[in-house]
Amino acid sequence: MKSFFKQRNNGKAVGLLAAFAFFAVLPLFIGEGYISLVNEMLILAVAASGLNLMMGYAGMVSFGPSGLYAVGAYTTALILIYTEIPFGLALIAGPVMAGIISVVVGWFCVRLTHVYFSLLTLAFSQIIHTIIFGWYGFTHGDDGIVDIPVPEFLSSITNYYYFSLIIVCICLALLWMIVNSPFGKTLQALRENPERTEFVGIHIRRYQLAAFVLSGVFLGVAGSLYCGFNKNVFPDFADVMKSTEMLVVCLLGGIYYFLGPAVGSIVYIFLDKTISSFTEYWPLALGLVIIVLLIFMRGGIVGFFSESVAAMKERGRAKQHVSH
Amino acid sequence: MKKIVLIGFIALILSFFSIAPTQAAEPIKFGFLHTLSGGVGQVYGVPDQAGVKIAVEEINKAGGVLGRPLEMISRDDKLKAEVGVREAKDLILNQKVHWIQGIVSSGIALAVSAYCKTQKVIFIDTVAQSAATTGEKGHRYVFRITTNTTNYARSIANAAAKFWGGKKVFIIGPDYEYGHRCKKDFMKTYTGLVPGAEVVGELWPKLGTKDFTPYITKIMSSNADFVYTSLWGGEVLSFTKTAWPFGYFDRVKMAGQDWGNMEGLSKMTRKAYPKGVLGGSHYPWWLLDNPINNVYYPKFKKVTGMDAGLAAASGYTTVYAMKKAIEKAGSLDTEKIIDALEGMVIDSPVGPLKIRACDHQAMWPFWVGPVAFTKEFSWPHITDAVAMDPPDKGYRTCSEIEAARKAQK
Repeated sequence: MKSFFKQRNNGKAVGLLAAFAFFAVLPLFIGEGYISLVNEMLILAVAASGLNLMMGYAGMVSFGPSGLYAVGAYTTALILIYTEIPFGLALIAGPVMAGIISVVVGWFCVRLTHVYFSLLTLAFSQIIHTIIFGWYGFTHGDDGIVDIPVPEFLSSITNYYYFSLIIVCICLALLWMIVNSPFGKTLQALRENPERTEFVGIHIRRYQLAAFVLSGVFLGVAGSLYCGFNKNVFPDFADVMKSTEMLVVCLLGGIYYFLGPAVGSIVYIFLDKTISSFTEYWPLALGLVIIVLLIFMRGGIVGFFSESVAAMKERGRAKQHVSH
Repeated sequence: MKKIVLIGFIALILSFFSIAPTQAAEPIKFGFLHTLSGGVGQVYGVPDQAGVKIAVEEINKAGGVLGRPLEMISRDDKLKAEVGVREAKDLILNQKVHWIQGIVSSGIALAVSAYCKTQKVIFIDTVAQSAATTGEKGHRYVFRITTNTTNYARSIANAAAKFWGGKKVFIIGPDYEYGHRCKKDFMKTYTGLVPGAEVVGELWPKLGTKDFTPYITKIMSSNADFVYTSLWGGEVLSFTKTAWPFGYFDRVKMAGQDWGNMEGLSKMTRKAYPKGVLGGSHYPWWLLDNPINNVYYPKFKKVTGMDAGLAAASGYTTVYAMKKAIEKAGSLDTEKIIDALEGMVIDSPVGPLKIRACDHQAMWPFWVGPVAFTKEFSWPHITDAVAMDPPDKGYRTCSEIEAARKAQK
């Protein structure tokens, strides 16, 4: 944790604390219905940031993150409905299971590169979807699992919000440490130039597999958290649409920025929710907004703003220079 | 350029906040939650919404409910369970609606039902058909004002026995829980009506199959007396198109609940349609004769430009049911409204309907008859249809429901 702050200059640390304080006091100002929405944003932020470890940092574009998300969600759900195992353990089992599945799936996937890698991840997520959809006796198929028992103190939206806020913060801090560790730097080197990285003596596949599994674990955390929050899980968690949503969220926020996916989650859910309550043609409106964002904000929202801020500073400096 | 985009983007976001819905004088709010976008939305959500709008307008014109106007708040669940629950939360927590009605997907209906139970808000399913919603997973706050899958299978079995009554049954259905459950329910009722009936062959194409050629040839070479099918939606159309050139419908007798729906049939022409297939319909307005129907279906056509389908009548009926229940309860107290709804008989375009107290399921009949062309319409439709009489026979009995609920626990 120490290194976490040491690496940051004070300004950024203060900013992060302010953001945390903002989310912590939010329930005092807005109603439960909106808190529920913010909670969804937080959970999606973990999923997208997890995905981005693989996509933005390691340059491995996955088309199937929803499969691992669903593994997390269903593991927690199935444990809670079939066994007496306490909620906390069921929640931990989600990411553990997602991690185990990621090892298997990842072992195959990292043997391929580029679009072949992406397509294989898509295929695996479809397999997971098919299993969930088809195994009615165990997973309840297309009916989904509803009414999942969650401890009394977590069944209120505000309480669960604080619970997930803490977990989300821990996850983001862990991800931050990972991407700034030598391991994280190696992943970035791998993304930029795999051949050169290999020449330095890095075992590429091993690193890619590690990134795949870590990413899967965080997707699993998000799935489990969502399962406890909504008390239901559905096969469409593993659907291609869900994967697309996560990819869009990452691109929207900016895949080359740590906070990109988190900001993307907030903006995406906000747009998704607000636009659809004003018009039935929401896919059109949302599509237009995304096109505009992607064309005019190539680095995503975070990229756009950090560039603007940099440009403004630059201009300020230039002006000072002239006045001297 | 970047500045303009930035300003535009911020303005766009701010504009969402500034559009506040205009408040009429203390309306009674209710949520209309349905799939409104995409193909499914066009077929189910949009007609249901149109029917609900007509009901709200009629009621408000006549003075509202308890002197207050009704206000419908529409939300699109996008056919995704998580969005459905998100919107249900918004409707209940932010919009403070008194009840929620709608929903086409059974999974979403179960999820919203579970959420409404925790919030003690009434949820009325008007399209989704899974028997579990009011059966195994039923509770005090969930109602259904439409048919359910049990009635499908029973009504089809009843009609097949009446029209044909053969002993050798061939089964074809989508390969997932729904298809297999339909087979079980169908055979249970059918063997009761035609003792000694048996399944002589079964085929389970996977969900979303487009080319049915191998299945069709297999069925045609079997010596079954008739075929029972639970294929539905787009598959009805693909099956029909593939089967027609084989002369399938002249040589094979077939019965299926989803084969009489106006939604599917209205897209077919004399060049390929399920000729003579025993199909089912929730709302065969062309066969019904009652004062509400006689006024409602022309009105629906006039307002929407569409012919009324299965979803057109249930939402409309539900709004009137709630009006009646609120007036009977004399207040907006949820518990009192539920007490009023239990056992109540409501008027509807399909005739008077009883809402059963034990499982909150409306005894909505399901009509089954052979599909044919008549001079009246430009699309094929079911003719001289039969329904279970009384409609209660199409549903599990209260004691069966109770036993099923106990078995769940």
